[in-house]
Amino acid sequence: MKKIFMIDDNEEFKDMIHDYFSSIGYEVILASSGKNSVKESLTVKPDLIFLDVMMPDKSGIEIIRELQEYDEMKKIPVIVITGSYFESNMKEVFSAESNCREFLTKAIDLSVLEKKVFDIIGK
Amino acid sequence: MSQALDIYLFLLFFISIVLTFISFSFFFNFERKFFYSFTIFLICVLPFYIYVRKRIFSLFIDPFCSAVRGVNNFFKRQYLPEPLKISGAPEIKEFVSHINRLMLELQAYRGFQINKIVDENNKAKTLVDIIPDAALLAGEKNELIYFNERAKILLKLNAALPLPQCVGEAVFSDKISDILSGQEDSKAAEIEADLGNKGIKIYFVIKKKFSIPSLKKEGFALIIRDITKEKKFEAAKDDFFHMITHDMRAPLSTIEGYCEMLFRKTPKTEEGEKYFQKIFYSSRKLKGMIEDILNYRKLKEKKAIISLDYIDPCEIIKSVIDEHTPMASARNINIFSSCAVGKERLYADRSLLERAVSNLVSNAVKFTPSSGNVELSYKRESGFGIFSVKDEGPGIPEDKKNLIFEKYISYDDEKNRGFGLGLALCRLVAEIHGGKIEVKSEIGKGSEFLIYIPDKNKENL
Repeated sequence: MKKIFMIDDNEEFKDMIHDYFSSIGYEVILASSGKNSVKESLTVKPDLIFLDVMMPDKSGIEIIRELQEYDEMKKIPVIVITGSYFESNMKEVFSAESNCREFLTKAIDLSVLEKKVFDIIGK
Repeated sequence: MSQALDIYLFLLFFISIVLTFISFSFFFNFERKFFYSFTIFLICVLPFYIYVRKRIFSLFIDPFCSAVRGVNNFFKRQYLPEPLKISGAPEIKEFVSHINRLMLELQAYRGFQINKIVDENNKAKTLVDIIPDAALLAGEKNELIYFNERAKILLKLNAALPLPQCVGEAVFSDKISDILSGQEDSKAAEIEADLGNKGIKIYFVIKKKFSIPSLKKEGFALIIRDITKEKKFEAAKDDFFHMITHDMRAPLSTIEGYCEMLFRKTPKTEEGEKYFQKIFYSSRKLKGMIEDILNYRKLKEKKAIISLDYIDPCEIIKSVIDEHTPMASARNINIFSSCAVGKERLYADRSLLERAVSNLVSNAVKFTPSSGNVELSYKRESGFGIFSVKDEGPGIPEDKKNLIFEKYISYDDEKNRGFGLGLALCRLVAEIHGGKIEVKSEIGKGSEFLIYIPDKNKENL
């Protein structure tokens, strides 16, 4: 079963993603916080990471860059999903990171997100 | 003239005297009889000459010369202090009388015209002085003709100089120079002015040419209006909408997500399917409206994320038809397209385009009566990929065809009114791709909305 590691501070969204992807055959592990997420990811060893942009204790861009410092994490694909108001250059900033595969909004259809996840890691 | 006549009369008299002298000398041979006869002749003719001369002058010459002097005086002074004296021969009297009447009428007409000009001038000045905008009039060489107090204070005008040199307030002088530089009959621009302790204000400046046909001269009017409050209000309105809709996104995604899960887990029934479809449709519609508000602002400020890629236009059409079919079917409206998936491609932002086409179909379904048809199509023509959405609604009046694409304008009744952003967003989406949107419509014959997207490749963008 493929593993997805979710790093987000929005409780409702986190729970919804966990329940949805669990119901379609993925194992979803939730990070306890942005600050501890990189350390936890080394233990979880996910196949894919969902990453939020704006978190109170650590920003998404710091986390995505920190993941690249670890050999076992730098090739793990990251899908950035943000709910906040963002500008076009934010997408460019994240897309420049080698481990960032997609930059999406939380308004995306789950079926579309499901297809993107399937295209990246299969099931 | 009178002098010339005097000389002619005297010459006539003198010649007749000389001729008489010669004839007398011929007849009387310079004898005593000659001198007596000639003297008697002179004594008789001289008074006659004096009398005739006097009569001619008093009947004709003097009154005529007096009339001429009077008319010259009238032209010089531009008014008639008193009518000309009527004297002389009856014909001369009649002539002078007519001259008096003409001059009086001309004087009255001039007076009337001047009063009228003064009235109109006063009216115009009162209006210009009372308006809250800064207003000024300038002639063809940019010399100031008139300006109100507001213009004088705002621009710190030096009336002795022409525009733009007369503008003492530096924040305005460059922009006004720019506006004056064009040859257009009218031109408008916005100016953001930092007025120091008065803060930053936004002004709308408009220049319009006018002409004075009688003088064959042109000039222009300049109006400067403070629109700071309107701009702040518009920004506050946008911020308010944005703030509300942004916070609505996450909960809406959660509702959608759990509905999707519930739909998958719940045993399928006809009623259950119908209820879920209605929930999905409404939540997608609400999500679309929220995205429209958020995207409109981002697109307008050119801050939106545009994800360009090769897309299948017919696949977008199919997706939009699938989205709207459940609700359209409830009113027996048939949404269809003959577009074949997999045959066309276009370099564009898929999600924005799909949103735009979806907005058009949503309107089409709203306005088409029950059992009607909504047709979607795609074609390539003249370097554009063209999406078309045709409905069988009431049509759009000619004077509304451009207005419907404006923000917050909803050509709709109160019951069906939305945020009024759908078509405004469609236009922005088209424009951000370098294209356009237009509508072909006749009252009673439905409408066809067309989105033109330039048919470009990744390489030549």
